[in-house]
Amino acid sequence: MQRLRGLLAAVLVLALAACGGSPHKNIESVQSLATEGALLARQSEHGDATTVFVRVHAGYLKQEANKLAHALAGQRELRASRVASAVARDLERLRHGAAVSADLERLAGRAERLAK
Amino acid sequence: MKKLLQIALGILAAIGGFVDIGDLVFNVEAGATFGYQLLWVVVVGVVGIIVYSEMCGRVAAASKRPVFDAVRERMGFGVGAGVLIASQFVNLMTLAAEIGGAALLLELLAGLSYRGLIVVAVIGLGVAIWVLPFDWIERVFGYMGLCLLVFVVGAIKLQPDWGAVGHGFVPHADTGNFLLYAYFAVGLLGAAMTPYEVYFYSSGAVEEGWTPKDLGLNRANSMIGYALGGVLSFALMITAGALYLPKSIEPQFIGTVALAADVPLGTIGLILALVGMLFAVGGAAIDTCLSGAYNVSQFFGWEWGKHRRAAAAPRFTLSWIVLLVLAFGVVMTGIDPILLTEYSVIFSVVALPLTYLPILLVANDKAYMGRYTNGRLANVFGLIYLAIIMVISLTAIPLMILTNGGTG
Repeated sequence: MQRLRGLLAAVLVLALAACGGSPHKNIESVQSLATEGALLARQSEHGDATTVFVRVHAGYLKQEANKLAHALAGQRELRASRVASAVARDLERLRHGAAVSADLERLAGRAERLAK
Repeated sequence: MKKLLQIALGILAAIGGFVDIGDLVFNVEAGATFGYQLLWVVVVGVVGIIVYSEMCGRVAAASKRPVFDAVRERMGFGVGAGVLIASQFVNLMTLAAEIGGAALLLELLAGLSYRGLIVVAVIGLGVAIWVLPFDWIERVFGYMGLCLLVFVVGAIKLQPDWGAVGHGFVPHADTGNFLLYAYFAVGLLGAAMTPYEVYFYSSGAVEEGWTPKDLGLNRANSMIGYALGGVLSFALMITAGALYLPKSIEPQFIGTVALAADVPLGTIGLILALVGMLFAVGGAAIDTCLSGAYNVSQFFGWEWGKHRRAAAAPRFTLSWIVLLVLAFGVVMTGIDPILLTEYSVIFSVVALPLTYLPILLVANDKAYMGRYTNGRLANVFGLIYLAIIMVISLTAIPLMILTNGGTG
């Protein structure tokens, strides 16, 4: 019985450890979102994607960027949190048809440098 | 000529119906994380589903009874009930994931609210199951799923390093994170060998009234259809490997999968990808829902089948309606369908031995199969795959925990 409890406790500890990313992982995710946003923005600027797709997909990317901004602020990674917030703002502008691919590429570069 | 046409149509439907949300998610994530390194796992998964689908089809054609019926009769109530509970749990999770995926795809196409589109998706699926005859369900969703071939064109247009693609078919692991590699390998196998596929295939064979004369059709459908369907999985992984890996993009959304067709092919590629994914996911939702109703009806010995009117098989009809409503409830909690997909695939891996062991046993049962029992080749492959399934079912949950659900 004690062994079983120990095993359950170990599984619980592992599961809890698995919840939420490390600061480094979160910064990498910001870079990923910014790069994907830039790709989407470029397609939008070239008229190579439907406006509905751009609006909806950019919305999901924005939500995730906002989550990461909060998570990074909580992890005291303030510069990375500001980059994530800027990514979220650009993605919101993309939802309304703004040309933001260059901005998002620049932000992706900043996130990449922070991750290093 | 008519027979050839029937085989060709069946194969086309099998290709279009091969991919479900688990394949979409795991193939693209694997490609974006490891490039082409895991292509060989898709081959292993496709051969596995061919081996066991052929066995299921043969059981159905020889005995005129689906596999679950045989499991209940030959293995007793206790084992049968265990298999039923595990398969229904996995079916419900998978169905919820497919419904959520369909709603997300409708949102990307129409721009309406996700929650409202969940309702639309469930009503649409319910109407399709109620109204369409069995072969029409298979064909409408299978043929429309062929739009996914746009990923094959996209993969070629992205001009991947074909040498590296070829190397991907040879098992190897050039990575510092072997646990993550193993997690994706397990997920890809689970996505290719999802339990509902074989239950649906077996019950479908009975619905279509297969006899031993149809064993050729069974082999053609399972071997050629699934093998060519596997090409779609390759294309998804190659596209993600060529486009997302170099840019360090981690796909987390269903829209990211569609974007992989949009970048090389523009708006037409995007629309075809979204439509193909919608029908592939919708078709898989119907297969899963019916599979659940088949299982429970066959276990309890109720009248079942789409070929019967609803009033002639009331408990079967009620079963699929209840499953659809339960899955609707799960998706409406707001759970992320992509996360749910990953969990459903991993939990289906855990339940795989409960699905595939009984099939192997029944296919070897002379009392049931007569002269159509497994030959040596089918048994060798069946046993090899059973060993693989045992290993991955034991490692699936620990890998999911240790890799933080595949995020590394």
